[in-house]
Amino acid sequence: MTTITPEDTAGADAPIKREPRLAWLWQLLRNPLGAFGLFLVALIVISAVGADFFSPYDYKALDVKNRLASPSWAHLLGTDNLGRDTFSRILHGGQIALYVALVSIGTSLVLGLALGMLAGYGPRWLDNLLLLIFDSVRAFPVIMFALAVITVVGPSLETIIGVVVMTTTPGYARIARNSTLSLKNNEFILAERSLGAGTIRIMVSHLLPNLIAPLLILCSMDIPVVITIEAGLSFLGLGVKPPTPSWGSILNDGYGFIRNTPWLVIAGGIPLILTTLGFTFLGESLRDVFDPKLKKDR
Amino acid sequence: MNNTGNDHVLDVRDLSVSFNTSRGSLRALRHIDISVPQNKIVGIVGESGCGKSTLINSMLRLLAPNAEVDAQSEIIFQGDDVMKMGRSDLQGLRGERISMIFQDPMTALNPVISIGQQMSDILYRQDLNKAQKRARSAEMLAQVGIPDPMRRLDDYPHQFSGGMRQRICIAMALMMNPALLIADEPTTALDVTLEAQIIHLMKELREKFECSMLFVSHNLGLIAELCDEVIVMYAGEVVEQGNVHDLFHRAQHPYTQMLLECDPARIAETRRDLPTITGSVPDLVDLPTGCIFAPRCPKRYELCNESPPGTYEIGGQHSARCFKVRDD
Repeated sequence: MTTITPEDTAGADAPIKREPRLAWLWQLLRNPLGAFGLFLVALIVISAVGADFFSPYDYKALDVKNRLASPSWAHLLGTDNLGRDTFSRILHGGQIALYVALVSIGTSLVLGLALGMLAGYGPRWLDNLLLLIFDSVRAFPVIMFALAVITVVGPSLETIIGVVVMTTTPGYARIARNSTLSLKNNEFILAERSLGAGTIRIMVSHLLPNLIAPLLILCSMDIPVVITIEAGLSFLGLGVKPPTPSWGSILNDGYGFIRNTPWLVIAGGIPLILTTLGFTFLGESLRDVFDPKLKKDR
Repeated sequence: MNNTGNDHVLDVRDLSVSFNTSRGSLRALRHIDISVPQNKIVGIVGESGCGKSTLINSMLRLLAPNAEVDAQSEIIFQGDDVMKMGRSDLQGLRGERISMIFQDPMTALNPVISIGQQMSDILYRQDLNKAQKRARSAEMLAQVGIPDPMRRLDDYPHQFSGGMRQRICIAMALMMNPALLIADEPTTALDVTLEAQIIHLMKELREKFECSMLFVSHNLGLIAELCDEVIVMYAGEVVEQGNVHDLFHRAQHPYTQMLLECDPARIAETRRDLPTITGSVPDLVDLPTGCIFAPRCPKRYELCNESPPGTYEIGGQHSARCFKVRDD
């Protein structure tokens, strides 16, 4: 063991085998579920981002003569009860859905992590206080709570986002807190402290990477839940205001005219199903790829 | 024993630590006086729960929040009193001037950060760029005998074996070239062949890096092999200390004598039962009035139960906390 000298190791000239930057993508694509999930998510994201580019008609343009039309080359998914092109409305509805999901989940993640780590790492009384708040908020049923808030504040996108942030943050915070609690008594945290690391450094660069993986998976799986909450509220007429399209309001229109045409319900329902599947598969496979504890030895 | 000369890296004077528990104050350490000389290896032995870990944790002020250190306690490290240090001084002390190796290498490394990143993080105090930090980390890995260190920097802790992880921990502890290295039972979690390798490595590196070392163990053979001086602790007190030769060949305190007799490596003839010290460790919340070891001591007499003994010199650096020593 004394035969190795620093000269051997300085070895910048020796070829160093390092895994390529995008190796994780390959690993993800090798898994059929992951590839399928990624494909669906990419499809939804691209269609939502490029909604203005892809949609053949203005989603607000009425064409009453052609109302409740079946799919044709002119209207790929037919038209709704006011003769608006359903395909264009689905694309724009995706924009709303993703916007609500990403903004609210992102905010909940940041808030949940911060509060959870504070509760787990901070003093006991703060932990108890935060837990009390988390549990009280979690005790509300999401839809009832949303209905109550919307009744008071009035329906809008911001209200939906606010409600989702308030109801999902405690869940993330609890997971972050529990992981922090179990991690903070680990010897490596004591070792960090004995090497002179401060509290903020321990929390940000040592605890955070340990708890982020399960939370990101949870986020990925929560995105479809949030999308369905938004669709559900819009279905009830408590979400986005018309004429802004939402998958939920399209479903509601289809529900009202289901005796005339099934296409509105199909057009509103399929994106919801695909989004749920896509994000769930992606989250599942991303965990397998990213968690170094699950990584097989190469 | 309380030599205050400059040849000591660390002087612990009259250190008492207690923990507030629901049953009352648990007096984990009582009036500890020890010192670590420059470039020497000092061993601490004692059974589980005797305060070894509390002692070394208090040296870095890493005690649990319910710990209370008595006001008269002093821990002088290179002329500075650790007990009076502020937050930034403590951060400068930990890892840079004193560093520590832990018992279980399986849990002492962050599982989700690569070794190279964890090692580079220690160098945050130094003004080096990323590549230089990596090179320095690889060099340290090579010093502790990790083959192909440059490539292994990107590996995660679970990709190393237990022995290798302990080597990495040693490399990390020595990275800032500390004046004192504290090893808290560094080989307890390893098997015997690895133990010998790690001990050999630590001895070699100690000479190379010229640091002093405090080695905590309950393995008497290791202590005899590695250390220059030995401190024997029992139930929160130092019962005997001296150089390794005096202590192993002329042990004076009954506890030390019995501890040596219990060492399986020293048993000459095969018997059905291993020798043990009868009785159990006293309750540290409700201390006996006399000598702490009296209830288990085969050589006790009335005085032992009445008042606690002081520390009595035997000769040279050798001393023991026992009335028998004074009387002899």
